[in-house]
Amino acid sequence: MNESTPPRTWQQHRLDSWTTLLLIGIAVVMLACVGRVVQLKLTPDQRLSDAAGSPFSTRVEPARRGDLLDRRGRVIATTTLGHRAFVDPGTVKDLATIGVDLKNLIGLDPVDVDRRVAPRHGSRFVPVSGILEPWQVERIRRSGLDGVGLEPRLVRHYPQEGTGAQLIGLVGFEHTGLGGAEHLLDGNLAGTEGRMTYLRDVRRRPLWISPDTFTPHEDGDDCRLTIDMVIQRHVEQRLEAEIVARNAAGGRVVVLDPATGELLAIADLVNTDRPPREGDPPPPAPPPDPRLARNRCATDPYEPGSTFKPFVWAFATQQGVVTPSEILPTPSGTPHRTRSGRRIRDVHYYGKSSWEKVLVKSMNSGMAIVAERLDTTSMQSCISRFGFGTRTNCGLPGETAGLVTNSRDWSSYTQVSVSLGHEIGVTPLQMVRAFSAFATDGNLPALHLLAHGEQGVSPMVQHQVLDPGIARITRMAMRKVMTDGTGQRCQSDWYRLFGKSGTAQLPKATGGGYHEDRYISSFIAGAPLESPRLVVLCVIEDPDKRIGPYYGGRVAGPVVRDVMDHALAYLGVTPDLDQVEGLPDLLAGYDRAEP
Amino acid sequence: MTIILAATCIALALLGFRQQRLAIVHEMVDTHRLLMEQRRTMWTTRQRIAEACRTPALKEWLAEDPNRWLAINRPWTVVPTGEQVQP
Repeated sequence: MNESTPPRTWQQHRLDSWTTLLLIGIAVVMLACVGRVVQLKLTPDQRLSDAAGSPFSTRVEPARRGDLLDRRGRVIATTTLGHRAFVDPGTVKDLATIGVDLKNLIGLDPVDVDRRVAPRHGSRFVPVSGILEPWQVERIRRSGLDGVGLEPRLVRHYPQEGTGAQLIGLVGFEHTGLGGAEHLLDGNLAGTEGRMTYLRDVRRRPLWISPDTFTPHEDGDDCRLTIDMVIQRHVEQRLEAEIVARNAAGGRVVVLDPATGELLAIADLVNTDRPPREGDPPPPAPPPDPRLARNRCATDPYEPGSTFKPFVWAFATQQGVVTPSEILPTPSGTPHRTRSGRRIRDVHYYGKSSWEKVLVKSMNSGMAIVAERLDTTSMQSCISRFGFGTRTNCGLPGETAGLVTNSRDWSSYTQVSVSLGHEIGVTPLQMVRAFSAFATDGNLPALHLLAHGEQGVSPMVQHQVLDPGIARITRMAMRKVMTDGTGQRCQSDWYRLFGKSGTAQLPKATGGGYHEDRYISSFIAGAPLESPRLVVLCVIEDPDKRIGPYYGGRVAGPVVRDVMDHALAYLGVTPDLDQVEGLPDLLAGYDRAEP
Repeated sequence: MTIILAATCIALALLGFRQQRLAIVHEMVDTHRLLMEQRRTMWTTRQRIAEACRTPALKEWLAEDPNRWLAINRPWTVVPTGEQVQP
């Protein structure tokens, strides 16, 4: 039986019609919405674009600049993140009171804030402070003050304070190295900042991060220097004390490990409290920051005087033009006359003396006699063989090669002068490098400031410049300098030093000769005698003759001795003098509580 | 009606996925920010340690009490058997 479908009522027809209409309506509205979205996406109105801004935000990840470390890992320079406050004048509620608001909030000077903000009303970013203290940052974060923000900035700290200032250098506003090791190692220390760009909503909350819009930061590498901050600090303290005591113009000290070529300390101090002496030009304006001062141990040559004699002595001995025991016709009371008639004076006249005694007593006449036995080429070869006239390339910025008379202008006068350490300019770095040949049985080390194993440091390079036997003979002769010669007053109680003093007249700053009564006093030494661990050079410039002695052995010698005692004890080197127990007091100079 | 219901379900599911994705992105960004803050805290801590370990600071600290030298020189206790025992 077929049941026929009941006829649809008019109400049902009407419902169907409404349903169809409703569905069509919904479909139309949805299509309109989709169409509007597509239109807004593809061709948005300019006003809408301006109001919404870019849908992307970028967050920068600061990269940390690497630390500078000393040879034992002490932190010399390190980086933290600080903040400085800025004002966005466009969003500040009341520009007239922003200075007072910031004063009440974090103690900024309202006048200074207004002075900065007033001329830049149209700007969106006006820095109004330096690096803030943590409590100031916290207060700004909590205050919710409209139009005031915090800008993260990298801050460089130097925990060792002023020690080795110009050696370490500093960084500029953009955190790039401006001087010293900071500049030298900028490529290794500097990092690469990261960047993350993300799609955001209107409240600046991230919606999506595409993998290709994220670049991770790369921190800079830590760099370890050969400098030891304990030795550096002691050297600077001792040098400063001597400069003040002698009212000298300045001084320089270099401490070197001759076996490895590692520079352990480089000190350069200028006595800014001393008024210029009569006839001196006005001193140049000091650099804006002491860390920007040039390191004169690398840049400024000086006349080494008698400290240069051991090089000529050893070379002449090696060449066979003289033997240590040969008796030379040195004068007994009047100046020696060279072949060209030049008068060579000695401080004391000893009569005929052996070649060894010439070095021990620092006799100019003996040096002149032997210098005339050498030909010009040999003397020039001696200079270049010990590395004078060429940079050490240790890495210190602005290093110079010193001053050596060229072969065209070389005269018999020059030949004799150079043997006495005059008419030649050397840097302290060149001197310690050359002197190391005596400490290493004839090897000239390659100096470096970056510790071995660090990036860019090639393996230790040395080359032989003296026969080992000659180097040892010269070392023994220089030991006698300490026991019988000009170094008697600066002998160590702990170690057997070998060294040489030097006193050269100070050249006039304006040119045209030398001061009659002003000097450069220097002393260079190595220790312990049998297996030298350190070479120390001290140069004191223009010690005040009215205060006391000015000879190198009396002025610079005690500094070398004290530095050597302290540094060797600190390095744990056993004293090599008989009947000595223990080590020098490393706490000397510090108040120690009574037990 | 079926189509509408199906479309609604699909839309709700997509919306749910989107919210999940957003939550993950937020978490990623928060974690990233936290990491950065931890890094910065570490930098500051490192700097403070460096300040505290300066040679003069250590020497002054040691000078205050001679027994502190003892602790550094002999950080163990020697027992009669000759063995070294950590305190």
